[in-house]
Amino acid sequence: MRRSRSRTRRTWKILLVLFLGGLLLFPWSAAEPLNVISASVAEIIRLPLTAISLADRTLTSGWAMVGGLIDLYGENQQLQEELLRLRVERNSLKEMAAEAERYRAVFEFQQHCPYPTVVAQVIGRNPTNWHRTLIIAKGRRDGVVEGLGVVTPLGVIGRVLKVHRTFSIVQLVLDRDNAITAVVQRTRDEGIVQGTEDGRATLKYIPPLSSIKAGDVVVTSGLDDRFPKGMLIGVVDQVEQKVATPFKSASLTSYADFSRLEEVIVLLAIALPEGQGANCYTRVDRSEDGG
Amino acid sequence: MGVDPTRLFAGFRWSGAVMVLTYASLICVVASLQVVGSHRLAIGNTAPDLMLLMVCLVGLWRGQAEAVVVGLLAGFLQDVLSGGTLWVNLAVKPLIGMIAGMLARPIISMPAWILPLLLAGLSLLSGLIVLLLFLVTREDVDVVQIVLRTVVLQSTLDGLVGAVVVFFILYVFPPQGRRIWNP
Repeated sequence: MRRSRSRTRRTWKILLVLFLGGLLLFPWSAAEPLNVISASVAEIIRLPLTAISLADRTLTSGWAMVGGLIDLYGENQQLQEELLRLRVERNSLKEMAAEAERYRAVFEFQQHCPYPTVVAQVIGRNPTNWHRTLIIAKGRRDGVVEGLGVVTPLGVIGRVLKVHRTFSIVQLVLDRDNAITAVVQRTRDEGIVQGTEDGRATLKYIPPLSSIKAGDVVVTSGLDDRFPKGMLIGVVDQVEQKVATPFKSASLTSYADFSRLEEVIVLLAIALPEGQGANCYTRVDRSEDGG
Repeated sequence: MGVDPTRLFAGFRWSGAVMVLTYASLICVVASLQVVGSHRLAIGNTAPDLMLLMVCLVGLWRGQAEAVVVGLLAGFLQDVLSGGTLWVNLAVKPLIGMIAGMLARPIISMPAWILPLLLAGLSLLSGLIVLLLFLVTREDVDVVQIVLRTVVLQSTLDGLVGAVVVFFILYVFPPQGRRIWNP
């Protein structure tokens, strides 16, 4: 049994050697039938070959994509963190720039103003709806006393009403109880600026023959001892003359935005030595003068 | 839902020191919020009076005596920080606190939504008292403007803010059962 099996194996080996030798000795010109067969075989093998190649390429590119996505996710996270950090930084810089701009305006005002002043931060607003006030972080220890004028580079804000050791209450121009002597810059008509119930400023007691009109600038007259002459108060919005009174009155729009005040300047004194200039120009004054 | 406001903190035992400390802290925090943050809730130039709300709520939940004391302190602080030359708030706040304390018992069995209305009503009353003082002490007062722009608007705002505060408190400390108030 074992002998016959080894004999068969030997026969196959001999046939294989003969076949291979025959192939080597086969004349090339007579290889055409083989070529036909090989073409068919190649055509058949092309399909699985292409499919496997495609699958291989897909898998390779897919894997690369997954790897890329993983990297992309990490990179995205990193970029988002960076973006957040930059946004915070940008906001911080914007805030610093705005603060610097405000302080620059205040400093510039102080440079041009010959009177002793102190800059105060606004720390609160009126606790009731019956008065228009600000709370500033400067008090008696900083030299603030009652009655002093409070301004910004954009004009008059009000006067110091109450003084405590470390903070003070400032009554705004818009308060009903406030009164500032003022003059219309163009016509030189005098009047008194007071607040109204709706939180606006009004110039009252204007002479009936005055030619005051909308757009006229109203400035301090310098007649009281709180503000130097010529400080901006506001612009005339509307002029009216009530039947019951002989005077005209005009509603004003202030240059300063009272709801957004962050720093104000307290004029510690407005008396100057003889011969020294007495004008405290504001930014709007100078821009209108082209300065 | 019937609301018994006096029941809210009934389980809490107040020692004298704790009470003084709590009220002092509360007044300081609310006063700071009033001057620093209340204008953010303002409509036009009118903001809610948080100090008044605090006094009313103390009156409703803790009774007249505590409301009057808190009202005195809150009113004093408000006058110190405000631009008024009269001590109006020192007089009005304890009065309103006392009235709120008196109203606490009748509202025990009423629904919860009555509380904001009551707060708005008390704010309206407070505003009218201050207006009366204005009329007595000043000339040239535009009553209609003040009533519309300050008194009514403030009471509306107080009612709205009061509603938020009341429902927040009722949510955090839900009332348990009903109890006749016996201070």
